[in-house]
Amino acid sequence: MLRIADGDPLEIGPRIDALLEEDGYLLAADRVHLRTLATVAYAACAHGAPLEIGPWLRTRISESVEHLLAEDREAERSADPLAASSTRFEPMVAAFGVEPGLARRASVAFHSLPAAQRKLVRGLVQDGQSLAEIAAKLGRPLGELRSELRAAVESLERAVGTRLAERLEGGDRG
Amino acid sequence: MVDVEQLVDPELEGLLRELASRPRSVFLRSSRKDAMRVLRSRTTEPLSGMAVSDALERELVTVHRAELAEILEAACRTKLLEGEREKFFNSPYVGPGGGYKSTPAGVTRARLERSGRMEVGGTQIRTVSFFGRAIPSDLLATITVPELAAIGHRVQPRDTWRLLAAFSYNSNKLSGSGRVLAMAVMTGWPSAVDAIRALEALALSEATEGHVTRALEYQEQALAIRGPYPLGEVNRLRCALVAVDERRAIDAASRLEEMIPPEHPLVANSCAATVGQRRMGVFELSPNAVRLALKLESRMGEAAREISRALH
Repeated sequence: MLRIADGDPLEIGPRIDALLEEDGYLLAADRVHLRTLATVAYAACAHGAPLEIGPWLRTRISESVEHLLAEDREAERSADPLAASSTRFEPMVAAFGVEPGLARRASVAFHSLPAAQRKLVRGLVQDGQSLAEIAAKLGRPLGELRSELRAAVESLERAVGTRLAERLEGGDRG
Repeated sequence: MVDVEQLVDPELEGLLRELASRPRSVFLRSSRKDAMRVLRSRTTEPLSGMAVSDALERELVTVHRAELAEILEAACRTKLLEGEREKFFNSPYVGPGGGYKSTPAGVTRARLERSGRMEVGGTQIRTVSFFGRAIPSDLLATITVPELAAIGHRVQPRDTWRLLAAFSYNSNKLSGSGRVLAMAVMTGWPSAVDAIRALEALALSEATEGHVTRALEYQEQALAIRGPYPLGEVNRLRCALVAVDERRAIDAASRLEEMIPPEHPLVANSCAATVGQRRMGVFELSPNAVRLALKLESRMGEAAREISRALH
């Protein structure tokens, strides 16, 4: 297993970056990388070498992302404690300036958004594109994207803010 | 407290500022400058073997549990497809081509045992004893879907188990339990796919209790999440016919006609499920529902006509 970790001979890193960008995920790439390494090692032992490495690796990366998102949803549902020092949800802090303690909640809410809205927000906050550039790239009216952006951010605000308010009213400040 | 640099597109920055000005807003409450710098600078870097070996071992165990969960999920689905009542309640899990193939109990057992002996990168993973205790060989054939789902949830907690159990409860006339589990999914943080499944389970619970208009509303919500898809439209058509909702019945029939040819396997599957559900008293047809079905028949596509005939 360490053979595929050391030096990244399967070029898993760039493939992860590409998938996260294409599907509009805001996840810490190193977290996805670690899980993908384990998924790849496990699948190779369980099912043998793949015929076509590219599509096979993409499927393993997608699986890993789905599993991580499912774990985050369950952790949030169960109110599992999240260490304030955790950097696992750094992309959320970076994108929206939410406090680290709310970052997992924001991540879960963000990844529940429709894929088109996720891709738009990710393009703006992580890939450094402007709304006008994205509109030109997608061939869509700027006004339409602006409305979509507002809908996405307001959904996130509602999802995270409401739950925060509920917790504060319930006396749970964790 | 608020440290906002112009780091992203001004449109988003402006929107965040506007929302952050509300007293209870959660946005822009933490410095984004450092986080953004780290984020912008990184692409995935090669990992050093020594530094990550412990973490990888932990991840491997997690992946192993995911495989065990997948085996248990296949066993749940098999039971849902094979049960006398269950197969007629399981349409959301059956795709146009017939969906999941049944996995015999012996194969499931063998997969569990093989998985328990798995050795990856020097890490031997032994969990078969857990399953040996939880699911003895002779029990695998008789264990219920909710029991299997409960074991699955211990292995890898997720909404899939709640939904599988919900469909099972619905099919066994325990629509109250089915509703509770489906609502638990909806009030958590469901993925889009799970949300659609949960709404369809809720629709089934309501239909089973004779609240067809409410069932139709849940089905409409499921379609709103994903947009038109054949199975959703089939469910919508059934509910609309039984709820005597002419506008929605025509709409669903038209969409079905556009989406699938009459010889599509979904038509046969839907008819079988409709006949089965009707036989089991899920869809009680009022005279008005029959009249509506007859009235609409000449205006419907082949798929809709087949369902209409099954409902008469």
